[in-house]
Amino acid sequence: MTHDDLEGLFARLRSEDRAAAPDFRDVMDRARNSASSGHAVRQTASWWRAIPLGSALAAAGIGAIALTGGPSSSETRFQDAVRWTDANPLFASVGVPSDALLGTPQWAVLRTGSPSPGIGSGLSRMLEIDRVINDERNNS
Amino acid sequence: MEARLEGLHEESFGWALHCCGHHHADAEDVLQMTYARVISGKAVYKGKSSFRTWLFGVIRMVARETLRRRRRRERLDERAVGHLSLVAEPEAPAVVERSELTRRLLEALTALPERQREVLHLVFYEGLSVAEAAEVLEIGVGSARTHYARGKERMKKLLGGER
Repeated sequence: MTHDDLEGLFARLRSEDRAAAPDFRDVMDRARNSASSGHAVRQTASWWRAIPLGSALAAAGIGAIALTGGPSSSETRFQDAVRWTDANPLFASVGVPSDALLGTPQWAVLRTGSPSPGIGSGLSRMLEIDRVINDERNNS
Repeated sequence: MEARLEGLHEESFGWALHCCGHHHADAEDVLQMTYARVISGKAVYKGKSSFRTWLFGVIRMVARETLRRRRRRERLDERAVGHLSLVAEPEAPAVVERSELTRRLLEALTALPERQREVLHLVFYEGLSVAEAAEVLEIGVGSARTHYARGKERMKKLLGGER
């Protein structure tokens, strides 16, 4: 194993990684949304992918979600998420209320956005997602 | 600023991947958070080093914070058991196709101390000089040289017969 061999291996690793690199515009768009929210609501790729509901939300035309959840801080984070969603109508906020952490196995849809902001469309979307979440819960 | 970030995007992703233990989704998150900090002015380039080494330093810092938060979250998830399993992060998707050779390279790298791993990545993978790697890692050049030499020797032994 020479210096050149090692360089060759790293070059190969680099080329495999670059083939899997995300699109710059996608990452930057999400970064702009995070930056404009002005607080620490998570709206990141791993959470989006991690949530089984992701594909259902995407099918409903929602690009991403802000997820809140945690012990004592969750109420504050919930309010943050709601405010953030208000400012970003293409996004939905899904939260785990603090009592879920105390043993109540319940999901709560806190707020959803809609491509056409308005009480009616927002509400129907919320109900739609609520149903999907319940289905997921029952199947899990 | 965006043009500079875009020009370094693939390199930055490679470094983010390294900082996140080659977890693809984490690396994407770290990059997103790094860009958010840069465009919001929370991370400001003051021209004390090259833009690339400065950006790599920010990525490394964000990755460390992210991993710390993840560990905290995992502790919370353990408390919340059943119902939170719905949001528990699954295994990283196999987004990056690995050849046998690179799998062995990654395995060998995991046997190295963190600093040696970081220096080797920055020099061999990113093409930085040892001095630039030292800037990213905020260590002295002499120390970086030692990590580089030791890491390289160790890798040669670990990968022995690879060609």
